Amino acid sequence: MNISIQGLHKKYPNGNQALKDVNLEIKEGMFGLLGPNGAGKSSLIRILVSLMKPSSGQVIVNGKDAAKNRAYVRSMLGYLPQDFSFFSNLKTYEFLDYSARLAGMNSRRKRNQAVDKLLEDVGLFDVRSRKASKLSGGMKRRLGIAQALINEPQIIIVDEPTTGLDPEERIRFRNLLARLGSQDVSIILSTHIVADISSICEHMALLNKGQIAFSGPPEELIRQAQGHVWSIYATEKEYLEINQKYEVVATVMMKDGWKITVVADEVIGYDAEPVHPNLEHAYVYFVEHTLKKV
Amino acid sequence: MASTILTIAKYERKILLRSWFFRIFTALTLFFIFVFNMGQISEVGDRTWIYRAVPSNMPYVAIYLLNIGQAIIAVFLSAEFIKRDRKQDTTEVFYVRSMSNASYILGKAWSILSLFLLVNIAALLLSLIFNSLAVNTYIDWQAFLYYPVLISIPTLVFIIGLSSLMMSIIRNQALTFVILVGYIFTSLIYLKSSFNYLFDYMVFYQPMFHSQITGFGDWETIWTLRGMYTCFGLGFIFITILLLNRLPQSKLQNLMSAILAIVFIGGGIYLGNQHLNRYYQSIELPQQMIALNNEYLSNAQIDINDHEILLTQAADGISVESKMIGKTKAESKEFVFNLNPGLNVTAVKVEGQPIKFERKLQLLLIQFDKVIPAETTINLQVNYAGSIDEKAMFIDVDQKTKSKKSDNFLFDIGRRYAFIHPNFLLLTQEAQWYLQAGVGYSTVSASWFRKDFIDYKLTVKTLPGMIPVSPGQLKNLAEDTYSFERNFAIPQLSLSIGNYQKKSLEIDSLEFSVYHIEGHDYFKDAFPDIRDTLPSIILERLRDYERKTDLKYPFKEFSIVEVPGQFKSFDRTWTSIHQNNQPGLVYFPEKALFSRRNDFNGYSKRIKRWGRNRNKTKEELQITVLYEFLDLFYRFKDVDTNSNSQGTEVEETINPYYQFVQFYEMSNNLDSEYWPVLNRVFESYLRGSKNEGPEWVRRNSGSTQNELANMVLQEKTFAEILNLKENQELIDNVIELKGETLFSMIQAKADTDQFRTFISELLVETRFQNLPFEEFNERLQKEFGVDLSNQMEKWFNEIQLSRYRISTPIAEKVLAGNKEMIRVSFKVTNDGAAEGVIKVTLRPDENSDNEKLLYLEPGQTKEAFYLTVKEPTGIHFNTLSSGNLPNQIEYNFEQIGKSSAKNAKEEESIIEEPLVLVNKGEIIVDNESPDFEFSHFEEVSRLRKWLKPKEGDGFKYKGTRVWRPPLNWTATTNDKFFGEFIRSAFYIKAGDGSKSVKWKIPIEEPGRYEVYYHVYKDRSFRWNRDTKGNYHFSIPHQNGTDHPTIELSRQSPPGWTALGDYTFSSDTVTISLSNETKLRAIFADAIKLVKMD
Repeated sequence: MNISIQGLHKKYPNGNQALKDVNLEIKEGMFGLLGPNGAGKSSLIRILVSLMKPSSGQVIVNGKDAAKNRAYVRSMLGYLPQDFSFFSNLKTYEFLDYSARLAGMNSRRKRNQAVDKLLEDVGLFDVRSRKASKLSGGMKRRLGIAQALINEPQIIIVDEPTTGLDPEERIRFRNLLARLGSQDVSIILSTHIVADISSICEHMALLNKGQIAFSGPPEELIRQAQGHVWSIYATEKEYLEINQKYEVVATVMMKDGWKITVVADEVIGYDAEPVHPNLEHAYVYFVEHTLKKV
Repeated sequence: MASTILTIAKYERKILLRSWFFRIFTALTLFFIFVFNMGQISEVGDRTWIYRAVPSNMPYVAIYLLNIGQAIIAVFLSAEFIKRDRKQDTTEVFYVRSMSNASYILGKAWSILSLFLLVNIAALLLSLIFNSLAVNTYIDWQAFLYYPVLISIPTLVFIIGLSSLMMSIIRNQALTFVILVGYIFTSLIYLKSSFNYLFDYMVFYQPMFHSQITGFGDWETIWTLRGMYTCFGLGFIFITILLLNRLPQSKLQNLMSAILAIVFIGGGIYLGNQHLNRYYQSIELPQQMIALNNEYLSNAQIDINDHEILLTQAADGISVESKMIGKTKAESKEFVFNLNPGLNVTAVKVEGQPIKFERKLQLLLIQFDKVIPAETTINLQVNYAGSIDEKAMFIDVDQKTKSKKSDNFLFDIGRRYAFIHPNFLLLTQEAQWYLQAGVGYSTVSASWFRKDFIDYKLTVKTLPGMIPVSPGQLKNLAEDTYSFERNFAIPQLSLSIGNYQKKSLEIDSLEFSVYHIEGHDYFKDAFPDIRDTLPSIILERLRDYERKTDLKYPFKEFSIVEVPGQFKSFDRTWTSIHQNNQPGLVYFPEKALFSRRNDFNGYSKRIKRWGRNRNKTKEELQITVLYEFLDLFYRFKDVDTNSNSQGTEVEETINPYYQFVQFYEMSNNLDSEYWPVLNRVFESYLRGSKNEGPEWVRRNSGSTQNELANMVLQEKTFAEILNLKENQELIDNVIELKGETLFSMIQAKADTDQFRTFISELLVETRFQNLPFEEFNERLQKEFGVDLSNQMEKWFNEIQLSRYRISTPIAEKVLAGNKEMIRVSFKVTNDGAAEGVIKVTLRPDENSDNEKLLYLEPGQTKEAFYLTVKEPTGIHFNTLSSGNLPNQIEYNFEQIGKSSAKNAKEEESIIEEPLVLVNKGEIIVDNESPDFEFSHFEEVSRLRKWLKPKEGDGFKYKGTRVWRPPLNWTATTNDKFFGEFIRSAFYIKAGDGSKSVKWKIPIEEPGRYEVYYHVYKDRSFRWNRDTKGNYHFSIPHQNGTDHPTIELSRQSPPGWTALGDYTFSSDTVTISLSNETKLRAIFADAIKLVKMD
């Protein structure tokens, strides 16, 4: 599986330039698409799932131009959109069955098996006869992923899947995705939540203001932030100054003051020591520090 | 692709099925259909006969009702579907699936369509259940297929396509819904049947009645329009595919969609265009024909005396050999005939030699080489073949009238004027299927129409096994070859051919027959318990009618001939003959479906439930049913009323089954070249006053048709009225009224009894031939000294009306010889500029033979004395054509006095002194006087004004609707009001006293006067014995103002009622009456002042 995004531009009729010369290579496994709100993630995703045309550039899937081979691309696609809450008057299993038939599963027996299995996998078997619109938020999201997974798609694209979920559901969801990622499929996970990516993605791209700011393994992003994350022990008075001077990523209240984690090239005048960055630090460093400088 | 479409349809259908909107709609519709079937078809309800007579109407009506609902609901559902797709929601996960846009939209469309088809099946099942339980009918299985296919599918496909397309373009469900519902109501309320049902997408107006004999009435229009709507619907669906807000997947399918969209829209436009062309043709052809008739109106004609017709029937046409013997009326080289333009003339021969001819639409011009002198006998043979162009029939009837729904059924049955069908053939004179001399209907002059008695000899070669019916005795000459024997000439010839069977009854040398299509003899067991008396009942009814009209039924047989349900003909001003009537026979639509009374068994069960019939025996019930059926043939007019806030509109049409035509029009003809209408005028005299609608119609509408006719006659001459192009109904009434008046006047001038006898004998003498006006006039002059021709010019061309002042009649006991009798006397003055005649009838009028005619010259006053043995309850005056309103006045005798008069005689005497209604010393101010004033208020409610914009004022006098009186003072007439010629009053709804009227009474000299008010007691006093209330007056007099009241109750007397005596000093007294009362309404009529001392 190989998805190659080449020179993708998207400009909306209102003049908003959502994507600028986006180039990416996506292979099997989990691929994280990270970026702040409004960075252009959804635009990119909607182009990838052929809901929208790019202004220019192309998406090549296994060597085929996606715009000219929509049937081919759609036939291997599983998609969970960001806003997945409105359901028609269908029961949970009917909804999946409908998706399965549209995904090309014509054999009723196979379809029934697949639907039941997926319902088991996402933990919805017990509510299979409940109307989809009556499910809880997390259940709906799980039903969403289930429909995206029906008929074993080779490309799974999930847009902001964990937004609005409680921590337990979120972890459960990540695990589900991780398990899929180990199979021979490409999963593109678009999110603005760093934790979603850090835990499961092998590759990632960082999208900022419609451009790819970084592309590579998450470790590389972390490596680039090495030496730029500091821990400062500050007094009450210093705390306010630091907040103004530096990009603060974490603040912990101590017995005699504050332990503040900041992203900066250097810290002068305070009791600071470098710390090993995690992906979140790296993301902040990149977005708020490096890109702003550029 | 098919699998994807079905998948989408399957789940979308599930979603729809679960929507409450749809469920409620379905439940309500099915419930409504159930109730309708229960009421109209089952034994429980009213049992309208049309459904069981023609059983395809049962599935038809179910689909018809359902279709109205589904046409609207489908709009909402289609718009709803597309709306959901616009949300950022689960639809997107379907959009990214591998399927084409075409599959997606087609799947959605099919889901709605298939679901509604299921509802259709449910409705049809319901109908089937009722159908199989219904009595005296059978199941027409095919109808269960063709009605949903022709009605539901095109409607649904169109509305689904249109609403999906609109939603794709407008992208706002509410707006789409409003626009589409607007379109639906526009098509239902305004466009209706315009352009021959072009806009009637839900076949609400378009006739879809399926005859058991000949099938659909206008199959071409049905398939064109239904095809057009299906094409447009499919085209719209394919455009919606192209407009779907999803990136297309298959270029091929998109291309296909584009092609199909073009093909279907193109197909729809083509069909629509075809339809419009035919529509315009149907409008243009009559105009072209009339233009031709006008052009050739005065061309020379051959007066045909004998006409031999050999007709060969084919499945799709006829071929005819026609041999005529006639005389040229004027010298000419060219003679004109008319023949339906659908028939092609192949050869014309004179004396066996071919001759030149020219065909111009309906005209056939026969051209000789040399001028042929007048009165030359011509032997003519014409061969022609083809079909009947129905567009060329009833060319005088406008399109609006032609497309008007003519029955009171839920749906329109449709209209056909002639039939040429493999199973059936029907040709009437109107079809111009045989050559007739001269031109047809012309707008230049009425002279185009001259009835002529011709000796027709008809021979018919039918399709195998079929039976022809035409006036005369059927004779079988060879296999499938028949002729009709008749030894008299007839004014028109018609022919029907079908799988006829005959049932007949011979009574007193008269043969009564029914020719019915095989299997349609539903009536054969209709009167099981009066089988023996049935013939005598029929005969008695006929003889009764003969006695009343003083005319004899002229034929030896009377046949009811079954024809397809759509057969229709129209009223004409120049003749009362409907094409339903032919000499000695009447065409009945199949199984007499037009009235539930014709479902004899069912009707008998139905009326058994009525209170007055509960105790009747079976025999009595059957006799009642038979009488009601027979009444159909003796009823002149059908009255239809339509009430709205402005009043009641009355529509009268000649009952097409009225058989008076047989007694006169079919057998006699008063022929006048200058006054062709005279024949019709004479006929209305013979028929007598049968043209008055029921009394309640006048009460509601404010006038009778005759009064309206009189109103018109005050402004226009008879000749002018006859030339009016519009308002045929009114022209009809003027003819009736003028006719009755003219001949009643002649009768009054002559001796009453003798005149009628003379006429009856003359008619028998001139039966089946023309009676030239000149001869008629000569005979009249000889017998009675009356010269009609002197009066005719004046009668046609002058605006002249009589008007009468009639005194209060007196009834008293007198001695006539040595016998005590009752004498009724009254005085009348004819104040009008024309002579006139009044019909006077003493009540009760048991035998309808005590009608007296009172003739008055202009300005003449007469006193009339009539004697009767039986105490009369009242007297009735019919002023016929006059300036009186109402034109009929009735008096009831409260008491009969005793007179000392001896040797009383029945007589009329001329009095010099004209009758006056105001005695010396009296002053009367009526509401018709300029001294009467009333206040008018504008209606306050803007909404009401907006919803019901004021229509033209129409007739000044409205109906007297005491149940719902007007909010403003409104003029109304009644013979119980005071008035010299117009007995009218103003009335208003009871109120708080804020609305009043004033009589400004001029007095010549101051002094003491008694004041009276003319009280009218409306019908509410009859309904309710407790009705009671006051009239409040205000009378200013010398010493201030008095407020006298009159209390009205059931017991209080009507007429002049005293208000007291007052001294007036000024020269004008203003008396007012307010609307304050506990009664329902206040009537302002007349005030009388009587000088005291």
